[in-house]
Amino acid sequence: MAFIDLNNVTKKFHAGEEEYPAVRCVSLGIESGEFVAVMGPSGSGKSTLLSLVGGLSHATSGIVSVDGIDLGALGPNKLSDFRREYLGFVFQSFYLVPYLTALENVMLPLTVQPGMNGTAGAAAQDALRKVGLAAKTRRFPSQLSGGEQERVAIARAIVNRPPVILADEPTGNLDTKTGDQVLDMLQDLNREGHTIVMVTHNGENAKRAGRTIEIRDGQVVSN
Amino acid sequence: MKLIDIAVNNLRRKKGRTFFLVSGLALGIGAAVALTSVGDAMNREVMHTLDEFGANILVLPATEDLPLSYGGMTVSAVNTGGRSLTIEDARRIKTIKNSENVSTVAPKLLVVSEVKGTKVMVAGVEFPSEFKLKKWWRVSSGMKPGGVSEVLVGKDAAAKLGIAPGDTVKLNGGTFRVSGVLGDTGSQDDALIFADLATVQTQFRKGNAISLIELAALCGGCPIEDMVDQVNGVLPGARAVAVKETVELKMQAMHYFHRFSLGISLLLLIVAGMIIFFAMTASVKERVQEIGLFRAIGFRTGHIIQVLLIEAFFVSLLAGIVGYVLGSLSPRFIAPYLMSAYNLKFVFDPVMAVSAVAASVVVGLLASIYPAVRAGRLDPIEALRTL
Repeated sequence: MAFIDLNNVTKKFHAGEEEYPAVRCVSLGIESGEFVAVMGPSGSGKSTLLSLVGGLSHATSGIVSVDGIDLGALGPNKLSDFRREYLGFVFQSFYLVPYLTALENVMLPLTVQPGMNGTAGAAAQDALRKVGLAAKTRRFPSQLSGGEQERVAIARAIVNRPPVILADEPTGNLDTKTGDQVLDMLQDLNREGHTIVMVTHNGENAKRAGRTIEIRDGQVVSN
Repeated sequence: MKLIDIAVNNLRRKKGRTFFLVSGLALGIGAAVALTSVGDAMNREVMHTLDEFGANILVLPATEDLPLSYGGMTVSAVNTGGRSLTIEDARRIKTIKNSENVSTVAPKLLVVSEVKGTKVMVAGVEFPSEFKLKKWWRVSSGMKPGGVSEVLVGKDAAAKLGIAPGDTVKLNGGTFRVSGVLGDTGSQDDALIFADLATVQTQFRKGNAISLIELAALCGGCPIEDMVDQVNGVLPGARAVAVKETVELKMQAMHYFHRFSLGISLLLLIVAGMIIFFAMTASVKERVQEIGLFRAIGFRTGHIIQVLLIEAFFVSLLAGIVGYVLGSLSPRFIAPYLMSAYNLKFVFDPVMAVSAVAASVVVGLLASIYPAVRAGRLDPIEALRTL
């Protein structure tokens, strides 16, 4: 069994009376330390796949497991704990909390991490330094450029040193140059040992990854 | 950074929203506090007025006889012997422990005389205290007695005896001038002639005897039974009784006021709670993505609820304090329109302050529980729609 393992996974959504499968009978494995790009046109189910791996939704059928943990067997609170221990999320629209400074945003995951009270500030400073924002820790999101906001989001994703980083269109809202910097950063993190799963519909971005999984209509077409 | 910091930072950095929440609840609390304190003050004033309105304690000679009716005034005691009351007894009432609660002491001597061949009851009274006690007395023609040899005649007595202001009447040999006629009182006062107490005592050779004493006690703060006991204590030869109906009527009036202000306060708190409820629900809606993010990065349902309830706690704590201060200051501006005499000083009332803040916090938290729990249960995937 792979580190991240999907075994015959189907995820159906309900739209009124109708039921449509966003992911159909997908089986795939991602090993620890890989950098995988999940590619496909919009509506292909790639984001749904990411949410399944991220424990944000349960599979309708099949088994999703990470590090041998069957996510389908976890209740809401255990699933929260799993996300806290294993995952760092980077979203396309950053999702920074507007009333918290860059530093406070990065510290967020640590506020619910037991035993982090004394060291949270230092850990957040560290993470911000890593993404090159050591000088702007006291800025609010509205006082940062799009690229800087994305870097804060990455710092937040890595501050609790999660084994897996899940990135959903991390360059979607950025210009090419800033997007390249973000991809460089993700490659660096991968070299440091983080497993990275990145959803994108941009072929250029996908080339940065070690492996590309292509999805169409909820099914894997190339792996 | 802890959960409390998230809550506090949200409140600090969204000042407009915080201000709206705090002022919404503070207005409700403040109005309730103002209403309660104005209500209390009005209560006191109404009680005071009611207390002065008629006698609520009657002091009679200790006798075995059943009193003959005149709103409790007994005629028999003086005439049938036994130890009668004296004017000194009336003065001694002022020495009881709660003497400051005694608003009026009205001693009376009742005697029977003959005017133009008709028997009539003459009441020797001290006119100033009598008028204070019987606020319903109106002199319908003529004027109040000005000197010791002037009398006031009840309406029926004046009609029966055919006397008018300016006339003179002979009472037990003494000549008295009728200064005025009382308007209709609907009581036995209508059939009486009222004269100065000391003059009646001399004219009828009663020494310093009196028949009874009527008392108006201010019993807003003290049980009337205590006052009765105290009077009995200083007057061993007398029997003080409480006029129960009057007392109960007053208590009832007080309870109506009390219940009214309590009801309105409750209504205000419910409205304030609803403001908080809707504001919190709107705030949760507005923060759906933020809550989804919190969930995605590992916050449990309980963590989300905690953050929101901590916010609600601080908002309602602040609102309670602001509301108390507003509510205690505002009667200074409202009260003069409602009543004649009100103590305009701001007095810190710890019981009221604690109750206001506690009520605010309870209302704030109760109103926030449902929105907070709903927020905590938000499906993170619904909240973060892009994933």
